[in-house]
This record gives sequence, structure tokens and C-alpha cells, in this order.
Amino acid sequence: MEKRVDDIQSLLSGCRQGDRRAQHELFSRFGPKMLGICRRYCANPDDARDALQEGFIKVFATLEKYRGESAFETWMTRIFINTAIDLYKKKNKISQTELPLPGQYEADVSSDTDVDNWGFPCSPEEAIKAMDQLPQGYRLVFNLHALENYAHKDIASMLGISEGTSKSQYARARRFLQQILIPKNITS
Amino acid sequence: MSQEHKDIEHLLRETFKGYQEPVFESDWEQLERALPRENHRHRFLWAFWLSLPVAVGIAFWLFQPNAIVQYSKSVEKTLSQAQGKEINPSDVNQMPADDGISYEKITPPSRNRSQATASGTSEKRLEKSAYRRTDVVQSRNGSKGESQNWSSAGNNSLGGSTGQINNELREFKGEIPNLSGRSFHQIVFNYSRSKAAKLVFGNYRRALDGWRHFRGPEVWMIAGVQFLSSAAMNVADKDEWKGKGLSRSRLQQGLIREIAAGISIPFGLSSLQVGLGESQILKPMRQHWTVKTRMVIDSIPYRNMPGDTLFWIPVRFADTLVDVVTEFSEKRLIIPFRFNQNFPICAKFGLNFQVGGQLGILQSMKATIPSPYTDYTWSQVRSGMAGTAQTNAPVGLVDAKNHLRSRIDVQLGTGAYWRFNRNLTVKTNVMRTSGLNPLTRNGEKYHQWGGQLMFMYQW
Repeated sequence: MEKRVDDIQSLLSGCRQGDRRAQHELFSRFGPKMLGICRRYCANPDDARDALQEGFIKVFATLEKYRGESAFETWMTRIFINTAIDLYKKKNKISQTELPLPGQYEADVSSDTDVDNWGFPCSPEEAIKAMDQLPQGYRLVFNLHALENYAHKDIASMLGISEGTSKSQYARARRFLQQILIPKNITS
Repeated sequence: MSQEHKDIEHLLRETFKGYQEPVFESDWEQLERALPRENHRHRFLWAFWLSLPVAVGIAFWLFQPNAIVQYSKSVEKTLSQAQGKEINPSDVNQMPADDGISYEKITPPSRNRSQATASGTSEKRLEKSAYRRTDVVQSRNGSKGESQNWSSAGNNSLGGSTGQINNELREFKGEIPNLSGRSFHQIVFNYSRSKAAKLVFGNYRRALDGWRHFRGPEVWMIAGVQFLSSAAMNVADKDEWKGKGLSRSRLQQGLIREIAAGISIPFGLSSLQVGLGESQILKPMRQHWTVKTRMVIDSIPYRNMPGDTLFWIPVRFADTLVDVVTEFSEKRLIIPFRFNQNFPICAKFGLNFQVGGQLGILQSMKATIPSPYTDYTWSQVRSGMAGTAQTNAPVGLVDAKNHLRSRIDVQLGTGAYWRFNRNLTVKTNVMRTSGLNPLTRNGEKYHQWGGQLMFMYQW
């Protein structure tokens, strides 16, 4: 364990000095996990890889500011989440007009026969496929609140929406995912 | 709310726990193209700063100063007078045709006169003795003296004396044992993380390591360039260099050229130093600062005795600054090595422990003369501590501030030096200093580390 810490410190030191080999090593070590995080937040794999690249550029550029107050992976994860959000903001503007009409989810779910057969335990890929059907704003809110434990107040601040919007989008996203991912026999 | 509704977050967390997606080499290549080019600036800076002292050292190695000519003149003249001979002034000004240089041991007359024999060699090592270089007198025996092994004074443990000694010269030198310190050029490259990189070249006459019998005044000069990059410049360390007022300035960034000169008068194991210097700070953003370092009266000890522990109280008067270090101790261990006679090597391992208190009263003055074209500021500042805020003042306004300061710090250091040959010595030093200034508002703490690379050319 001690060796591991020393290892990451030397790796970060090399990255701070602009050493390409160290940067490559950091990318190889943390890239897959960060791409998984990006994939949860982005609507498609291409956007996720864009976010991955943008995120690593930010990491390398701001590595000097990392003081070791939190675990490096935690610090890095925050950067990638923010990058994914920024990427989304560039493409879309989050607003309440994005809220779908009541009943729309049900129609979407019932029209997808594959999804009907999902249920826990499911693979991450299946879960992401279910998330892909969510509006992007809902998806962000759900990820931030359910998986990253951000408070609605913070989410509202990050996404530039109201706290109420965050709550309502989260509730709708959760209902949608439950309908898709929880098998009917368990639900009933 | 049903159980599964409550647990959807938990179930998804479990699903995504450790979730990864594969990245490919193409992803890295794409990222690499987007990254800024590899930063070689730090390497360039190191190479740049290191190349300067090396270049100057080589230059001095190749072009020996003419001072040797005058030096040999006085020696030969006195030698001839000692032997009751009249000399032709034109003879004493002549340098040997080539490198006819020898080194002879200088010993106190009462003890060493008996060793002056007619001719031959001497292998005997003499304690508390010193060697002085001079040019071989060709007219004495018609042939140039053979190359002599050289060593500095006995305490630096660089080895004893071997090889032939010009005995007649040695006898003569024995009559004037109290020679002043030898002249040498010294090039110092200082680097400190929180301070500055500094290159200093100086021509000094002062004691060398272990030279206890130093007498006579010394004249020193510093011409150097500093690059300032930190606000921690108010932390001044103590060393033998003068003209250090600028190292206490609270400056953010800038380029300094400085020149200073002075005289040192030995006083027991210490010396009093009086100097006059001027430094110009070329700050970015169109501001130029000129700082005069005036009347530095400084008492420093010769603490070059290996293995000695010295406690000393230097007192400095620099304008209105009173700077008293109450206690200082230093313990060093010098381990000599020698590959052969011409290339000895000596490593120094030292532990410096320093507890000091500094009480200062500062008055700073500045005058700002606005220019319609450029914003020039002339500042006459004698700063010495933290919190010497300098702001532009209207024309003619003099701003004076008084400060108190105390400091306590601990310094650890190690170093080594290599005496490549009898002329050139390279010294290195690395130090780590931690300190506290309890009199500042927030109890200023500082940590710094630095290194020193010193080239010394002596004759």
C-alpha cells in the first residue's frame, strides 16, 4: 500500500513536469475508469471519449493545484464529471422545457420490448443503455444525485437549474429506470 | 414507496461499482496531439544557469589574470633584498616563458628556519603551516623549479606536502610568516527554491579554508545577476557575501544586477567589513528600482575550521538596521580523498544548527519621480524584514517605517567540494532551512531549501 502511494506520487510528479511517459502511464491507469464515468454522463460513446480527452487535458493542466487533500482518484473524478457537464452545456441548454409530458415514459418503455426483459442484476452496459433513453438533463441529475450523492441544491447550482427542477427530474428519471430495470415479478 | 423504489440507487451503484470502459492507444494518441508540447523549460533554465559559471570558470582557466605578474614582482624583489643583492627592476617584471610556477611552504620562522637546507626535497609535513604560490626564480639556479605539490593549510586535510620544495625560497618565506590571504576569484551560483538564482563573481582576498594566520585587509567585490521570482525574499540567510540587502527585499519578480565592493579588516578570528554597493532591480511592467546598499559594517568569523564548533555573535550595521544573531553553531566533518596528487577530492558532510534572534529597526525611504514617458521609480531602501511594503509615493515624500524582527531557524546542510588542482576548487552545498519569525503579525513561518555551486579560482 505504501509503495502504491509512492508510485502515484512519482507519477504525478512526472506529469507535473510535463513528462509524456508519466502522462501516458496516468492515462493508462485511470483512463478506463474515467471513461466509464464519462459514459454514464454522456449520451453516446463518442461524447464520452470527447469528455475523456477534455478531462485529461484539464487534469494535466491543473495538476499543480492538486494538494493531496483528497484522494487523487476522487479529485480526478470531479474533474471528469464537470467536464461531462460542461460538454453537455455546450450542446444543450438545460431548461424545464425539457420535461416530457406525463405518460411519455410509459409509452417509450412499452414500445421497447428488449427493455422489458431487463432487470437486476443487469450489466453496466444494460444500465447505460437504459440511461441512454433518458433525456440528457434527467440523466445528469440522476447520476449526480443517485450515484455521486450530490445534494439537489448543489446539482441545481452545477447545472444552472432550480432546486425544484432537479428534484422533479430526478423523480421522473428514477421512476423511468425502475420501470425498465426492475422486473415485473419483483415489482408486483 | 416500495422496496425496489428505495433501492434503485443502491442497485445502480452496485452495478457501476468499478465500471470501466476500455481505452485504446488511439485515444492516447488523440489526447497527446491535443496536449501542449512537452515542457522543457525547467531543463533549459537549469542548463542556462549551470552553463554560466562553467563558462566563466573556463574563461578564467584559460586566461589567467595579469595579477600574477605583479605578485611575482614583489616576491622576487623581497627575496633579492633579503639576500643582500641589488636587483634590476626589469628582471623582476618578467614572467617565466611558460608555466614555471611552483609552490613553497610558508612556515613560522622560529620553527621552520632550521629546515632551510641548501637543496633537496622535503617530505616532512608541517602542522599549522601554509603554502603560498609564487613564480620560480629562474635566475637563482638557472633552471625552472620542478612542479610542486600544493596543498592549502593543514587543517583542511587535503594532504601533506610532497615533491620538491625550493628551499631557498622557503627559508625566505619563513621570515615573513604572516602573509595576507591569497587572492582568488570566486564564482558562486546560488539556487534556492523560495529565493532566487544568483550568479556572483568576485575577486577576493580573504582566508581560505583552515587558514588561521590570515592578516591584512581584504578587498572584495561582487558583480552579480539575480533573478527574483518569489515574495520570500525577505528571508535573508547569513553567509560571507556582502551586498546582500536585496535578498531581503519583498519583491515578486524581477531581474537584478548588483555590484558591490568593500574592505574587510581582520579582527581576531572575525573581521569588520565596510562596503558600498548598488543594485538595480529591473522589474517588469516598466518599473526600475535602484537600491543602494550602503555602509555595511559586518562582523563575520572565519568559521572554516573543519570539525570546529564555533559560537559567535556577528553584529551588522547597515544604515539603520541592527541585525544581531545571538547564537550560531556549526559542526562539520571533512573527509579527504585523493585519487592522485593532482586531483584530490574532498567531501564535506555537515550539520548546521542555527538558533538566532534578530532584532531590527528599519527605515526605508523612497522617492518617486513620475515621468511622462515611463514610470521610473527610484527607491532608496534599506530593508531587512518582512512587511516592508513599498508603494509609490508622491514626489518628495519620504516614508519611514520601523520594524522589529526576531527569527529562529534551523538549518541542515551538506556539501562537498572537489579541488581539481591547485588552482580550481568547486564547492557544492545543499541546505534546508526552516524558521519562524514570531514578531510578525501572523507569525511568519518559512521553509526553504537551496543549493550552492561555487567555483573558486585562486592564485
